[in-house]
Amino acid sequence: MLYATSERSPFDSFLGLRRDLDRLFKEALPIDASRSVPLAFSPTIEVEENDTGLTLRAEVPGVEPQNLNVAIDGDVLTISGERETKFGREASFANDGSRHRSERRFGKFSRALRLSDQYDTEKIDAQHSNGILTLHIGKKDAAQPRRIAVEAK
Amino acid sequence: MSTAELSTNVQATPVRYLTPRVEVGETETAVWLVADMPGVATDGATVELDETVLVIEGVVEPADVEKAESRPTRHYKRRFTLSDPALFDIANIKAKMANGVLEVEIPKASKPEPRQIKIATS
Repeated sequence: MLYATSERSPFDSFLGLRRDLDRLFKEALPIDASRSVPLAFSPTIEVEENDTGLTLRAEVPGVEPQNLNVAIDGDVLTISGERETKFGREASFANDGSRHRSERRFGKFSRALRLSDQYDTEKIDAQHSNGILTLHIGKKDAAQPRRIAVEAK
Repeated sequence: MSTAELSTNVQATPVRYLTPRVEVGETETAVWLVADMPGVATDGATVELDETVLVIEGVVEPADVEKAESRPTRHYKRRFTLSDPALFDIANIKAKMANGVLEVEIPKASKPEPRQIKIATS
């Protein structure tokens, strides 16, 4: 078969289809379907409790360690930072309209969690690797389960 | 578009399959695919091209994710279809995994020179 040649990008036909579908959904649905992806970056957080304390994992892919802050104010733990685009490949796509698909989100973020008083805000350690920030928050000594020795007679 | 997508998202017990969020962009010389795969180590990602199907994968081994007991292995996977592999220099696809982000560079093929076709005379 012989196809007509064109100077258009191989992406164009798909984008056209996508635009048409987006328009169809916008007309048919009261809420904007494209909003299903949040507009600003906010890390996904998982918190797990174990015997020694809390383990908190925050997904911060592409956030440089120097752009990541962990702070404690009273009993409120705050993770904040910025996922930047300006030094990334992303910025060059955005400027000339050659971005074909954009699901990743960027910008400043801040998430705060209130810790219950069984946790010791002095015992927090933070690690960052492979785009995941892991915090471990220890329990106050009094909050550790106490073992009561059973005496045998 | 080169990234018509056949996304799989299967839920199985020991492994948690996740669909990474991606960015697809085009520059003068290449098409870029950038995917968020937090937790994947710098040597934990694979990129495979089978004919027209490009598959990106990344595995987070439970060992990487702390000693914590019940966490399943997380497996990021997503497929894309290249409209026409001839448009790309597939021998020179490059990929880099850093800080939980996978970047794949698919260089565009240089345009083939117009060719003269001889007309046979009988």
